[in-house]
Amino acid sequence: MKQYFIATFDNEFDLKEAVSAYREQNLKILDAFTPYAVHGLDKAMGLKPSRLTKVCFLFGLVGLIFALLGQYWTSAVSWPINIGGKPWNSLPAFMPVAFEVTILFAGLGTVFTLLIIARLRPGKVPKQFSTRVSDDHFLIVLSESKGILNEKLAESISREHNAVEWRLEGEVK
Amino acid sequence: MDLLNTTPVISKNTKKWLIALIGFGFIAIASGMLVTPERVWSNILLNGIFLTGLGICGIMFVAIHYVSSSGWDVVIRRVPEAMFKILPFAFIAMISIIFGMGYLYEWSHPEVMQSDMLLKGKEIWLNPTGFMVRMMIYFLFWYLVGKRILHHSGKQDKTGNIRHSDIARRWSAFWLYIGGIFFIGSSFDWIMSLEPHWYSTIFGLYNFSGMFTSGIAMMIILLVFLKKKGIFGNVLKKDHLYELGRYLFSFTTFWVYIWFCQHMLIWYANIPEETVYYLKRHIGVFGSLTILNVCLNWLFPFAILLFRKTKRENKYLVIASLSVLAGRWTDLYLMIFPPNIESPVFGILEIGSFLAAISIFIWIFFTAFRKSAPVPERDPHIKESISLHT
Repeated sequence: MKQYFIATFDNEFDLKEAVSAYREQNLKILDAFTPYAVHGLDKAMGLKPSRLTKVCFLFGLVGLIFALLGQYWTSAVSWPINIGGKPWNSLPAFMPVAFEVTILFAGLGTVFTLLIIARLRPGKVPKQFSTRVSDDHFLIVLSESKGILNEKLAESISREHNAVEWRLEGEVK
Repeated sequence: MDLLNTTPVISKNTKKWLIALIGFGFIAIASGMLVTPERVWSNILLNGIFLTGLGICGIMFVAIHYVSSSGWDVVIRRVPEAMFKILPFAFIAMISIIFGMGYLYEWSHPEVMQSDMLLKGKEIWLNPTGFMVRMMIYFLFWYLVGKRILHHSGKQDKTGNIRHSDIARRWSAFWLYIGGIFFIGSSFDWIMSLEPHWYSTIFGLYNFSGMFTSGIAMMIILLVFLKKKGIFGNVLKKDHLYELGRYLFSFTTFWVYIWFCQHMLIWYANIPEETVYYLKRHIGVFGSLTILNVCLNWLFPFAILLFRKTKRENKYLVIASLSVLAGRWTDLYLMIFPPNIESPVFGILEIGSFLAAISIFIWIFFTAFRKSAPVPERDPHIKESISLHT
């Protein structure tokens, strides 16, 4: 049995304080669920900045090189055509396309990378701990660290920080 | 709130320096007038437009944030408000152009207008009387309507009435609609008509992008300085400067976007009466300056500000801002000088007049900034602004 400890709060301020308290006691926070983006929660949870920006940059760079090389090859190497007396390799004219392809690559690449990393595929049913997190509830889900979940400690912290309710939920491994 | 130390920001010593620089600039201008008047008038026009741009960026920044009811900027709002106060002084520089029109604008000579078919058709717009009248209207509108916005912003400090925000928002919308059109008109009038045969419909937007970018850069430098002096206490956080850094980053990109739009279309279409403009600016020293212009205005600041960390460091923000300000000068130089000056010039005249313009700006800014509380404490958005988190 894999166990989760789920604490429910009714406002973001209690939630943020509770998150810090859990972390101080070395309880492992699986995730926090909130109806809206809570400022400062990522800092309280100790989340690292997303690495997606780097992925985005790399995809953009690939797109830029691809677009420039592609245009250079088609209009200067493979089939040179004189257009308005411009040089075959007319870089300024390539820029708009290069710009668009950069954005296309960066955008699509980032989205698909995110989907793959987050294992989001069509037909996937996400695990939901409560449906009210999209309404008025703030959830913190604690999970076992090294097979141990200190339930008593979690419970006392939750009580201290005005949790509305808390429960244990198990799942067959 | 623990702000407001009330010691004057300009010390006597600084005042002496500013007076010396302003004097130096005026002496350079006066002595240059005897030798090369067209160069002097080009400099006056350049610095006049530079100062006007700083003032307009100030009020535009305030107006945009009023109209969009954004909250984060409330803490820093007094800085653009004080920048706006430069407008009357910019107006003096611009109105003095009336004495130098003959040196700058080809169309101000009636005999040229009569002999040139193309210019004759534009006479209805390009004539000295119309030029002056339009300039007066532009400045009167920018200043008087801008004053209304500032009036309500200042009054709210005393009464704390939310209604002032609503009224200021209406005036801001009015300012943005008409003032923006006037800005485009002023770019056509003051800069584009230096080469009356040439035209570009995107020119107003191009000048706007440079104006706004340089204004944001100036705002960043002033804020970093004021923060160092401890004027804002702990109310002004890294996050506010980070937001401005993002502003600067996006607007430098916007500038190069517009610059490239104008450049590429003219280059590609290859129509003789259009390419004339870039031909002058693509050969010789002007050509190198065009490359420098793109580097200063876009490449350096873009490369510096690309990362989140650099946008949160005062040092990098100031370096990027200085690059943009130098870029704005180069940009205006490339717009204004080639039509009337055969080969590129740079000397005491350019340095002196620019330093004088900056000194006047600094003097006016700090005098205006001391007149009201550094932070509008009773704005309805003040809490949101102080707790800004990025």
